[in-house]
Amino acid sequence: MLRVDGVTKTFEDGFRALKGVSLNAGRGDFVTLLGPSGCGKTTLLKVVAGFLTPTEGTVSIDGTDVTREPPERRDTAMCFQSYALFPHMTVAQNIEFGPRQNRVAKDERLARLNALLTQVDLEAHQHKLPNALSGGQQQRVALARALAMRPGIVLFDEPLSNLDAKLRDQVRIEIRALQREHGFTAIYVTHDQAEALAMSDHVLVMREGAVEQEGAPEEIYTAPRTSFVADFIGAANLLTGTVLGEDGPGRWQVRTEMGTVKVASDEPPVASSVHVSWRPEDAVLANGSANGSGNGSGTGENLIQAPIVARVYQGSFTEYVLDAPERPAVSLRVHATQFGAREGETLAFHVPPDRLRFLEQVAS
Amino acid sequence: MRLRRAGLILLLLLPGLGLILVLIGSVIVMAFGQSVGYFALTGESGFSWEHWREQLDGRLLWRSFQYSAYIATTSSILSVLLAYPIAMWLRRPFRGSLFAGALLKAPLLVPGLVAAFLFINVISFHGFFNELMVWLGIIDRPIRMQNDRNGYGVIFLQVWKNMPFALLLLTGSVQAISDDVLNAARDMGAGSIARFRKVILPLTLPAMQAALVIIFIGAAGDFSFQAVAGPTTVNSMAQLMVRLKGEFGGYHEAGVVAVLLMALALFGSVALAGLTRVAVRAGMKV
Repeated sequence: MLRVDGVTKTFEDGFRALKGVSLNAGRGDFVTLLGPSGCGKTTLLKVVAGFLTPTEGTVSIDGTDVTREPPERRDTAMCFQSYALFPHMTVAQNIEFGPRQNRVAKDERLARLNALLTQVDLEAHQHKLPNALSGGQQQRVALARALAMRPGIVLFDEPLSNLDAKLRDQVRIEIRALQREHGFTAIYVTHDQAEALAMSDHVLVMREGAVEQEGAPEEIYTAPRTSFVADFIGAANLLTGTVLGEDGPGRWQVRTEMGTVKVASDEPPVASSVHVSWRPEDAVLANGSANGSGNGSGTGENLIQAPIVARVYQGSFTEYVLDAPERPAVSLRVHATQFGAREGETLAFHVPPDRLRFLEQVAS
Repeated sequence: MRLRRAGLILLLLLPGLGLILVLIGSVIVMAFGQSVGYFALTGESGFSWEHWREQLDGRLLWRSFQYSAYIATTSSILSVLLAYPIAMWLRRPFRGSLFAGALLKAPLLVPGLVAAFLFINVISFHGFFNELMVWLGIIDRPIRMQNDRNGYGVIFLQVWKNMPFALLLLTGSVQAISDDVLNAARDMGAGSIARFRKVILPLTLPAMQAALVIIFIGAAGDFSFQAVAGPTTVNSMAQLMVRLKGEFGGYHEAGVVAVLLMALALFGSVALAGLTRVAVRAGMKV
């Protein structure tokens, strides 16, 4: 459906926003471009939409090279971060704009309008101007306007960033439901990792104009390949480790800031000095309290004892911030659901070896 | 209590509103009063429609009225038409855009009379333009362009002087349209003309109307451009007013012309703004 091949974008001032990015999305896929501000995700979206022409590389839709085609000649529709509704047009006129431009017959146009108004629950607001609507309603109009074009690909540029947390969850579900119902391919840009994990079939984590890692959300979360991905997707404890040697098949002994630990991994470390990560919820508290991660099968390996420097109650769990035993300047974070330890006390926990991940080589 | 409150509001509004009412009201009252025989500077004052009858029956007034309406309408529309593409060009900053913008707005700083004199120097029979055309061999002998009978010279000067003003208003308005809105239109199949007609024009309509109205009023009441570069066969309303008062001492007749000039400015500009709105709305539906 959509194929982006080795796209590079260099702006007039010499700034390289994209460095050989490739992306494939099949019909009906929900692909998310995730990364911090300035990583190039919106630039990539604009290249796909046709608002920017890549310096190198190609963009193909359904096998046709559209790299030099203007946006109006591509089978794409974009939902903008700012909604970009036409302020002088009513909700109905906004939704009808695309079909009118594409000379869709009046009956068909009205049929699409009515169906979409029902789907996004805006029938009662169809004669209102956008400034009379709430943020969530405006977002739904923007979505309906894009869908009225019946595009093969819908491009979402951080569409939920202007909504409050509760509304964001609601609209997120609505977008996913509409995407499944209409079967369009969605390319979704966000810097919110929770949004990416919740909505996507496939995630591309971007950094400084390049794809750092891509895969299914579960894969990205559980098997990050770099410290950037581990840190950006959810909370992670990042350590530097020196590989001391093998400790059986697929197991290594590694010296880290929290002591010498065993790491069970299908992939061997890429160097003798590597970054190692584990998730705060992977810790199994040594006194037997469940930590809520469901990982209560700790073998007792990798026992760590560290002083609690901060305790942050988060509702469904409590986060403990600890000083790493071997190097107190490094903080460790542990999530627990049933534990009443306080600052100044020592927390004992295990990190199962298969929850520790080898990442990239430590830069010299 | 309500009366007291209303009185307080009126009192608070008085410094601003009162001044406006006094300044505008006194002019209107004076002009209208003189047109119906009051405020006579020579002779007796007294109510009479005679001056109106006399002026409305004469051809001179109607020719001036038509001419001023023609100059005002043409100049305001041309100024806005020229300002739009430049405003679009200056919409996004580029290297030198600040300088280009300042240069384009420079005519605002030049007094109209100075511009008119410079203009007739350039287009006069032995002026720079004719000499250049002859030297280049484009024409055999100089052609007469000064004080042309269609008022093209006046329109040129009006547009030269007023286009920067329209540009000032339209640039701000065009720049206020976000890229996303224009990109959204483009994304939905709107080409450059459709984007201009369906998005840019409606969103800049208030600025365009303001430019049209202000330029129309200024051009309708023009004296200096007309006196220096205008046709000698017809007077503008302002010119006629001065002529009636100066040459014939006809203060009451000048009052009639003044009232009609104010009516032209008011109704002409309102009609122009209204027609523009209708045209823009119609353009959106096509």
